[in-house]
Amino acid sequence: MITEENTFPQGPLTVRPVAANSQHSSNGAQQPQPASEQYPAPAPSSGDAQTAPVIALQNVSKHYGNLQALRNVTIAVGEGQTYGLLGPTGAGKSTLLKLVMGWLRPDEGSVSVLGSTDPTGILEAHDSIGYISEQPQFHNNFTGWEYLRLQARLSGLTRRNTKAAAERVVEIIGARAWIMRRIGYYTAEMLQRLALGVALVGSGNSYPPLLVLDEPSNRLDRAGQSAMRDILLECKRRGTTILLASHKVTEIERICDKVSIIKAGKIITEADVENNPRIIIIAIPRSDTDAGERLPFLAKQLKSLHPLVRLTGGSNSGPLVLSLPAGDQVANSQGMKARALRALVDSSWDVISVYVERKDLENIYAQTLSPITQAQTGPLSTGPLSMNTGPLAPITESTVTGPVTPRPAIGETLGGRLTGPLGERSAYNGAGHNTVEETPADSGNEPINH
Amino acid sequence: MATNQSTIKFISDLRRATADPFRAPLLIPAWWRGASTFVTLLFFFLRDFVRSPWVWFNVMGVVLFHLFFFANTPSRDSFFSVTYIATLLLSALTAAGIFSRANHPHTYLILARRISKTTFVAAGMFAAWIVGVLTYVLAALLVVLRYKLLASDAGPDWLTLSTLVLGSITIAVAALFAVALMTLLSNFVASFAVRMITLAVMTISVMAFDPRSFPIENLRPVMASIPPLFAPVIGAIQYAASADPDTVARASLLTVAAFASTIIGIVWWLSARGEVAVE
Repeated sequence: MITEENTFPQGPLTVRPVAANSQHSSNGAQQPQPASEQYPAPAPSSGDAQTAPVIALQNVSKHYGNLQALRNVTIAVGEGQTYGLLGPTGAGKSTLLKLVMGWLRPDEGSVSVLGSTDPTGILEAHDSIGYISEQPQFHNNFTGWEYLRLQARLSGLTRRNTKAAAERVVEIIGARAWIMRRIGYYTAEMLQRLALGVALVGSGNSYPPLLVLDEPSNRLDRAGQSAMRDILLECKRRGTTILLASHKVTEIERICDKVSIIKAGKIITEADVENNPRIIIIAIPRSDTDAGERLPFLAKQLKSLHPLVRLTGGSNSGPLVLSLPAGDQVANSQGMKARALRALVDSSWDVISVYVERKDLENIYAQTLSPITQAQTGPLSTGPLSMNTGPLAPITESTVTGPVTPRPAIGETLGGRLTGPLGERSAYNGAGHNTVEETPADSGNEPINH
Repeated sequence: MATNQSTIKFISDLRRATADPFRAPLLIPAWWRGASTFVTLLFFFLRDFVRSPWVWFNVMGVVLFHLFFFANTPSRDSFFSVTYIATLLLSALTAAGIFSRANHPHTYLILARRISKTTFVAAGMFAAWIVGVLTYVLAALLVVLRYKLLASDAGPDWLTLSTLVLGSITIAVAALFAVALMTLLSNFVASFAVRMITLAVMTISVMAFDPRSFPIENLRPVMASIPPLFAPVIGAIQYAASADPDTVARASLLTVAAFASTIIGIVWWLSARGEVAVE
């Protein structure tokens, strides 16, 4: 966990200005800054790719001799966004990151990083970038402390500030016990932590505006991965834009806002990663009632619960699918669920299923990379796909019940497991979603009595 | 009383300001940035080299040359000839060591800072050259120590500081040439094709010294017409070895300097154009 209070009593941390030399005037003299400008409040993470992108690749292709490493790749990473590149080994992720760092030059297309497209401009932007290479290797004859100070010094920090910056990073990566040892004696996990420290140390008392990470948790154990994730999420919260390449779905899923799945040098699909689950309620009109006629009123009532409530189906006595926001995006999702259930029951609709739905990147990844899918959809799709754009598809029996795990009847769902333990039951429903059965014990609500 | 309090406050503020490192400007001035980066990189290369096993080649080289070639009191001619060749070889070895270490994934972490490949290569070359010159200094010190300071007699007449300093000009130029050539032959800087062409030119130049030994008989007349490009490298020894160097020695030294400059220019051009791809 980051303990910034102990390290920086003088002000909150924030992202270093994007233009690394912006603190210098045109004649090279350093401009004095008031404390409020040196330590401004943390920048909120906008995640808005509509503004000028921090990283933009436009129709980029790259060859290594006869091997085509990247084919017509186009991505745009907005300020504050956390963008994942997901793909198997050899897919072209590292090549893409090296293009972003300006070490490789595209054979076709253009690369823009922090507004710079030419190699010199991208090099200037390195002051604003923290980089972790795949399986980072270091100069083993140095101690970790020496190396951090070297990196801070090469980032242009004054001699005095290199020490303070290195000390801060040592706290962040939890390396106080071993940082004075020679790097040659480090374990794989220590090396990975040091790599993160190196990525952060150049920003002095702030966080880098851009992190370019190639498999950052590759050699970490579970605790190390968790710590790495915490640090990256903290960077994200501070407004750092992150480009993260990984073959681990969970790593991307937990950190990123958006992901591109890459295979054989081509972006196969691009999708938003929605980490927040949704509560799905499926109801059918009670026979011999005016449930159908009361639908418009019911819809209005349900939509007033929250702006993110989605409602589909329900016409012609078909099932009504209600999707409620859950997780971090609403304060009291369970209360909202209870009110929705009450409204449905009061309007003569029988609730046949209640479950929590999570977008499952793993299934999409597996589907995208499977040869069968590619044979069905053609070798590569022509445009980005989005997992959560637009309303739900029209309701059919298969989407209600799912081909793999038929939804239990209302008695089973709401009454049969009332006293069961808290738990989730995941199943793939065939639509790229992982569904989690939620028992009423989960919610802590009273069962609905009919 | 009031004065005392304001003084105490001033000292207190001063202590706080100096104790808090981040109150000072974070970044070094822009005008000093390039030089600071180069100096930091230079010391980094030197420290990395000194801590690597490669340094032992240099130490052993100096000691072995000293033991084998300076068993008796050396003449000026023999000292500078041997030291010249030794420095040339050890400088080349040092450059090979530095750029072989550079051609490694850990270089990405250095280049992730605002450091161009050209700056990186230039710092590496300069570090190798410094090691080469220090090798000469060490060799000279050993000779001075053994045959001047620790000797029972006065030692050879030529062994003076001015002679050693004057001789160091030739040695330094030769070391620069060796370093530049080895940098051009490193795969961190040059592509396979460029390295092969360089090696071919070197081979032909060396064989041009004695065309009769060229393996393909039909090409011997052609070889005979090729000037021995590296002859000035050998000829430059005379500038250090002779108390009164002739025109040929001076021209040779200038030619070696021109070779070194040309090769450095090629290295610079290749580094500025090339991508960063390490093994």
